[in-house]
Amino acid sequence: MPSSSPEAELRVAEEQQSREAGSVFRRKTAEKSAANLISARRRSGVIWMALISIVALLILRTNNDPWEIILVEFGTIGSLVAFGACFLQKLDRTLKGAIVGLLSCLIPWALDPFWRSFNYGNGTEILALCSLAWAGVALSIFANRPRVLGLSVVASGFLTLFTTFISDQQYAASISYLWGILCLWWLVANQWELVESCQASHISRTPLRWYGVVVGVAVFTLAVVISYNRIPILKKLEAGFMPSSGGSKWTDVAARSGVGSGDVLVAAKNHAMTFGAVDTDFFLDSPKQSLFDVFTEEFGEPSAKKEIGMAQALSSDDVRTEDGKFAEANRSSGSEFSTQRDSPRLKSKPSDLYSDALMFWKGAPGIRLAVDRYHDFDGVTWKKNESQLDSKPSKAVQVEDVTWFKEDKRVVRSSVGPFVGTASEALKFTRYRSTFVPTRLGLQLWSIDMLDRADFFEITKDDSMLMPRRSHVPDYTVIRFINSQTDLQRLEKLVANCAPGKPHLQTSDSCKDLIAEMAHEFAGNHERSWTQVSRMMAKLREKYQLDNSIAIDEDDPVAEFLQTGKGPSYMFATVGALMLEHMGYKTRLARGFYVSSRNYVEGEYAILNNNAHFWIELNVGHDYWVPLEPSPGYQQPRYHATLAYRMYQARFTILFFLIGLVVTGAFAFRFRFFLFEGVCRLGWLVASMLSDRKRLRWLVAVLDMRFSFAGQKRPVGLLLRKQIGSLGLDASKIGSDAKLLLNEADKLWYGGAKQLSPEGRQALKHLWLSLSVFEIRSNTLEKAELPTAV
Amino acid sequence: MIQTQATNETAEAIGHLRTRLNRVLLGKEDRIEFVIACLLSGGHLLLDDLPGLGKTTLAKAIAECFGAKFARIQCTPDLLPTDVTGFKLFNQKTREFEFHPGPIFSDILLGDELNRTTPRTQSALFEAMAERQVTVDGDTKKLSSTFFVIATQNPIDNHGAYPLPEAQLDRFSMKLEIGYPSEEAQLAILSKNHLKAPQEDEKQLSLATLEGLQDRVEEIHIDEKVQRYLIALCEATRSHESIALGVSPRGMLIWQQVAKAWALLLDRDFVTPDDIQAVALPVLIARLVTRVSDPKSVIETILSDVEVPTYR
Repeated sequence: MPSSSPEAELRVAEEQQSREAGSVFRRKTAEKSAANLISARRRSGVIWMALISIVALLILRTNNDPWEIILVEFGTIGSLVAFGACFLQKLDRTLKGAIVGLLSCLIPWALDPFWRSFNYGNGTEILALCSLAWAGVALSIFANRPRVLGLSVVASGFLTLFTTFISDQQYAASISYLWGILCLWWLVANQWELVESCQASHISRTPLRWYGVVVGVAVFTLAVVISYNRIPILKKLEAGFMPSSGGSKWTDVAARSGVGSGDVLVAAKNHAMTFGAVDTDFFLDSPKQSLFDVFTEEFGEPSAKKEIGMAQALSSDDVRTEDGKFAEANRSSGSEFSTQRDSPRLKSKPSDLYSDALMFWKGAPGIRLAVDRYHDFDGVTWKKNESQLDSKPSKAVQVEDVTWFKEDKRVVRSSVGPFVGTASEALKFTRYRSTFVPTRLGLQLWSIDMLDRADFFEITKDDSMLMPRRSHVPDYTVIRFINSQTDLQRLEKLVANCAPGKPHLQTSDSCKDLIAEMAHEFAGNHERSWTQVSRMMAKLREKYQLDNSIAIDEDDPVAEFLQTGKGPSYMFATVGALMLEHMGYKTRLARGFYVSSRNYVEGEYAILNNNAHFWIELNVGHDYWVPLEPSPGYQQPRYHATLAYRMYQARFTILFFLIGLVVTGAFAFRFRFFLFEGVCRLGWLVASMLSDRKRLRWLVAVLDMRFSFAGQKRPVGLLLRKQIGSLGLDASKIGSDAKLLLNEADKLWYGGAKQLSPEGRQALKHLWLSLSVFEIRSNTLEKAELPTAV
Repeated sequence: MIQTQATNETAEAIGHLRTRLNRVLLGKEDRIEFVIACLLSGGHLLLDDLPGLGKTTLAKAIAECFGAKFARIQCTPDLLPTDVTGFKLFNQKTREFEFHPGPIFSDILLGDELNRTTPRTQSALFEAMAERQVTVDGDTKKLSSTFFVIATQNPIDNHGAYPLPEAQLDRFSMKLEIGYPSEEAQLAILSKNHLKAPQEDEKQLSLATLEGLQDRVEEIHIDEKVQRYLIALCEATRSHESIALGVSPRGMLIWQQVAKAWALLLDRDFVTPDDIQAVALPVLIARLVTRVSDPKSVIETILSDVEVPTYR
């Protein structure tokens, strides 16, 4: 059906224009001026504000996340935004902004599970703040309307102020000041003229938009419904969004429901100061196991003696009470540890971290908390060295009106220790049944609120801490620690200069040779050094398999372990210690708990029975010991090192990486056209399965890239037909195919055709595969050479 | 089948027209294409060029092609509006006023050196060009449905000239410069080979044919993507810093119409972005008021800056 004549349309346009001349002109002018308002100055100000909010967020994130994670995450998103801003010219600005903004918002959520596998990760609210921050950046760069640009200002402002309020960093406030100054400048620079032009005489009243009111009321009502938990399913939306909301199962394994539900089992969880007041009947009669039972449950009972050489009747006086037996069992089990053990009983997976936890650790995960240490090994049983069991009371010191305790300084220790820095950590005991306080190496100070008696603690010579004259550490006791970290640089120096230790570990003759062979094989060509130790531990972890459920009941547990190639962690520690001793290192076996990141409970880590663990401690001289992890499946102890030192250590790796990068980059650059054409040919396999329209769309993208590679980037306003025509290929098959295809493409795109003809498809394939970068370059060169040739 | 037949007839008619016009205006094939596009789009043509380049010959040739009534006005400062539109004269016999139509009541009107006449007379053409009707003493009289104005103006010798106002310029579909012919064309002009009579088997076109072609232009399809591209170009002219007055909605409609005619000339029944670009220069140069001396470069800049849809 023919449309109306242009004259009639002209008349209509004129009449309408004359009727609404004034208002249309004003509206047009306003729209035009609004579009022009996003000047470079206006946009750059908003981008700066958004970047400041990113800095504020970065400062907040540094409280919990290491720089590596922050760099990877921010670098990824920043690169994405930069890529979107600098490239993707073909995409519409709004579409580009939507894609980049959405991806930027999603990346923190996508990376979080990955970080969690490394024992990091953030709460939902932090992820939401990250999304908001990057959405603000994307809006500032890709906004095409002043109103949208204003949204970015709101987002960055909220984020900057909010993160400043919740940040622990003192200098975080300066970020807010900076943002405020920039915002003030931006407002004055960009809005002042608008404010002046909007004087009273020019104000036009905008009628209340009914749909805005309806949407507002609906949103408000929904918010009320959600906040009052009227609809159970909506309750899940709220859970996990804020720290006070009780969390969700994903973010917090202990979470069950919302705010104030009373599900928190331990009322004094966070700020418990109780010391001794919980010795009620309930706790005294608690059926929970002792420390001995904890290890027995995890690693099995010590194997019973198979043969009794001699029996002797006991008098009635010698018959001890059950309690006495229990105490003796505890003591004997504490002074030795047999590697001959039965399989542990089947354990059910703990579902309730609160109820089953022995204690809670506030600090970084992956830490080993030693209860006690064993020094001598007779081939089957580890025993404590009596000389190391002597203990001395701790010493109290006052720091800012708080009583802290510390170990009486030992004479042998010098200032050249492997420990540097301080970290604040804490333990809260709930079901722990031992007088030994689990501590980690590098302990400097510890305290209990409201407690100033140093005689409550004793430190043995082998660095174990205990609370004497008690059956166990009282439940709900919170001990705060100031611990130091092991410095890698110092550690390496100490190990290199450490004198060889005296042998104190025994094993069967058959194992000795094997252990020696293994030790040399694992040590490789390395000299006596920390690298040698690390390599031996790494090889041990690599070659053998961890199996805590296995029974070690042969006469020679070490031989059995070496033969079967698998065993519990104490066998790894035993074999590791034997190897190290063979190489001249002094070691000891540490028994305690491994703080697993899997047991994360609202900022703390629950320590359960199954976190019982054995590892090695290496003597590095001056009576300093550092932990080593011989068992696979456990995170390596963290050694602190400056970035410069780590880079120095990895200098050869970095060098090879850089060389590889340069070589690969040079290779890729030299053969970039071949690589690209190869990818294009592979792409055809996919493209051939697409519809004609999509295939055509892809072809245009491919051709545009080829022209770009050939140094003939197509201007946005130049038709593809003209670009291909400029190659002067009209007489060739490519030229005729291009003409045929573009005619058909026009028909398909603008003429209502449904699909390409078979000839058109053939031409498309020919262009895809034949109009390569080389073809374009050769024709360009020919054309360029023409004038001189003529 | 019917459609194919109609298409064949259209192509045949356009081919005849093209041949005839190329025969009288030698070596100007590209200009002839624009003239035909302007004619088929139902618009009006402004020739901005020096005297003696074949403007009148071209107008006459168009009229001859279609057997149309041709009229010519030599615009001078003393030309009155009634000299253009006609006037009423009292008839003593019938005792009534009789209308004596002016040259505007023709099919093809050549307004030579339009900028020489006064604005008052120029404005007499406004209504005729826009609505194809004139009003004389309150009586509105319809003009030919194929009414086509070819106006010329001399770009030099501006003394005593009245530049055409923007409103009138906007009523022309396009402005063309014919330019001097090539050496070969001039040789042919001198030998007068081109003036030989039409061959006997050459088909004579009629005004009905022209009307049919103009109706065919109306049926040309234009996709929304192309329309959006056209709008983007128009918006670009309105916000460009070198342009004082951009394309009006009327200009945009005319641009679309000329692009449709261009698509028809290329034997297509739909418009592509190529068509929009192809006619952009003559259409825009007629109506853009630029702040620079070289409007062509501004138009080229706009065409290269606005993203053209490419099958995405």
